[in-house]
Amino acid sequence: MFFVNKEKCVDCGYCAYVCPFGSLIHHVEDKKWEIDPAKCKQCGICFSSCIASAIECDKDQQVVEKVTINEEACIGCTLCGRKCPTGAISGMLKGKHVVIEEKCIHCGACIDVCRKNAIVAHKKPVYNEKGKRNV
Amino acid sequence: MSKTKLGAYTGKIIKIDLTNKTVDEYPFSDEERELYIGGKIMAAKIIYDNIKSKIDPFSPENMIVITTGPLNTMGSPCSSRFNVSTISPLTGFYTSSNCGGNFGMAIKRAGYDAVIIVGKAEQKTYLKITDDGVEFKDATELWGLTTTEAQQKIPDKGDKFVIGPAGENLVRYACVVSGERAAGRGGVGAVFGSKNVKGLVAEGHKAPEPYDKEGLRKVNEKWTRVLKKHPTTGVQLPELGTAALVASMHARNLLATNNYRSGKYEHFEDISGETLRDDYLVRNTGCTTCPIRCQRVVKVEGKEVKGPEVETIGLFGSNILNNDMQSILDWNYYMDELGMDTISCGNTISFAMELNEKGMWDNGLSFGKIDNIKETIEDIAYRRGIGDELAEGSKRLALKYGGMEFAMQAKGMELAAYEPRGAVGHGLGYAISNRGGCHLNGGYLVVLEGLMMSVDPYTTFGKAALCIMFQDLMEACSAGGNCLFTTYAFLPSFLLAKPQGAVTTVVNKVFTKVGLVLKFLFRIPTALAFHLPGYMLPHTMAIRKATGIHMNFGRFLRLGERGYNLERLIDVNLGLKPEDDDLPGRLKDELQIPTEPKSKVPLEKLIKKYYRTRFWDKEGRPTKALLKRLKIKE
Repeated sequence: MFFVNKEKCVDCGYCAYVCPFGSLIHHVEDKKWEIDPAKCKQCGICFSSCIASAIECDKDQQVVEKVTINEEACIGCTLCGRKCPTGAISGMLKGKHVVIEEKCIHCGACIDVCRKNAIVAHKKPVYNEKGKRNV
Repeated sequence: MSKTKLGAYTGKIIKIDLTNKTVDEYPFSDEERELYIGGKIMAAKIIYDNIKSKIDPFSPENMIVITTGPLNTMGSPCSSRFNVSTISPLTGFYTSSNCGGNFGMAIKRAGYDAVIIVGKAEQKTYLKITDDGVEFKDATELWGLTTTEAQQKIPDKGDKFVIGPAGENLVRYACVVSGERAAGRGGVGAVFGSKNVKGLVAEGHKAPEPYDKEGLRKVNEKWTRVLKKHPTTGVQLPELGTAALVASMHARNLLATNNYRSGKYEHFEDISGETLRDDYLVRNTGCTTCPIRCQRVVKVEGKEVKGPEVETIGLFGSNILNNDMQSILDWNYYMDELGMDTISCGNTISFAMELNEKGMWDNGLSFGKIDNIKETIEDIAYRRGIGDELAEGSKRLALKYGGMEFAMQAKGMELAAYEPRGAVGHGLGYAISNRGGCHLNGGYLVVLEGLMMSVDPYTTFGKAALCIMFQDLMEACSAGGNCLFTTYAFLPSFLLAKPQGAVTTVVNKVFTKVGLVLKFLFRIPTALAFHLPGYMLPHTMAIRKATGIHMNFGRFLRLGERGYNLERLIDVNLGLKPEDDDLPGRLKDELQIPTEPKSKVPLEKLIKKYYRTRFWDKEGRPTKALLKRLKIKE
């Protein structure tokens, strides 16, 4: 789980700007941000963007490194393409879908919506064995 | 796929031709990226290569260059800044206006380091820029809308960048607005209007990768902490905004009052940052990625809107003898909505007031009379009545009605609210600045000469060299994509914490003596091959980690020097003469304080020193040897 360390948060709002799911909540009174767990899909984009390194996570947290579509399982329902916030999945109705790597931000929005489990998420740990950040 | 080997760049610049509705890729090599980095310096390079002689700023030949810096989208503090550069309708010379809105980050995330716009659209148009390309869209429905309305009414997702009615009506100091932030100075909005472009919208999702991600993250984290702890960026600016300076400007004879006839305003407390905080502030906020949060949120007509900066307060407060803070908040909001520069607008109005006072132009405006200002601001934006003439700026008014000696402009652009007779180095900056009477492009020496430090404000000793160093530093910081407020950390906390302390006093004395040393160091490329300690200038480290470009303090200064000279060359190509480096007669010839014989700007002497220290010839042109050293091809 990703969460905001309020001690370090400087209220710059960059996390909210980069979040593809609008899952950051602004607390005007104490000028801090908070991640809404209901909306967060654990993509870690805010984690790697935060200017103050104020977004933290569990030591065993993983994030999506690459997304591929299993052609055999894909039935071309277009759900993933419609859900993708960056237009990174191309494919016609009832045709095979592919991920355009140059556009993909590895947010994982497509994974949950696929009813055929055709989308394969290749994950990597946020921290390596020595405890250093990978992302 | 990125087309560059450098980190933090997308490797792609596009050129949009409005006349032919075409979009081409503009070639810009990695070698050029290393030399010109981004922001206003990259824009200067593009304009220098394309515009070689005098042009009409409103002609289709003029180009608008929107550039990002390498640190945009790299998670560095205050790194949402981008530049809009063009040939200014106000000065006829190069102008580059910096904006803190999200639009710059959006074009970078869409995959472009810069966007160049040329030609003129046949119909009212707005452009949609995405990673799939550029769409030309009809803006007939948007024409006439204010900046907020237009941004709301554009149906496309993404970050917007629009002009208001002032830009449409070619007010020579119209601005362009992204969110609530404006690219204010130099009349870039009017150039948009002349091209029939209401605005741009950009949607992007993927930022380029930095060269050393983990290294950059560590620099950014520490840099943010340093800014939060610094007395200026961590306490003063968040608490009081830039309006914090009003009181110290008054104390140091720096607050433009009564059309720059005085540096003190008896009712300064009514328009100070403290009053703004205590009686009007709803909360502070700021640009995305900014830990400083200097922006004021205030109430106008029941709505929460952006509050004014110190320049607006000075020019619509003390300079027209108005001590009603709420009126300044209101007018600041109207000007943002109508899309025009508050500095040039305020200054032109105060000039018109003095013309009226002296019986040179009967226009109904007078000092201390505020009931007709709102109407005047609207008249300017829609070019109605006297507004049509005020929309031309103070220099053109002076050419028509006389009074050039008290038209507070340089090269046609109006001065900011700092009265330069209380800080002569700042006066030199106004006169020499490539984009006209700009405090920032001029070097902002007033920070050393009274606002933060107490360097002797009247001496000419060392001022030219200091002016050059600060101009170059700010040029390079801006090109990196950072807000200039990050350079406040250049003055370490311990100097500011005890202004009367022994160390600060010594540093104040030494500052004026370092001119010769600096001049010597400027000539030796390897003399400054280090990063400044104590995170005074972390920009050098951040750019190195983000891009992989070999950067250090010396190279950073030279980058700024390259940019400044390139801008100067553009101006020379556009017909700049040494006599254009000038200030109005009032500031050069009249004493600000009758009992203080030094309280005027000894401009001739300062400029001679400046030209020499810059290695410019007597005509104010960069010498061939200098250009060779800076690797600028003529």
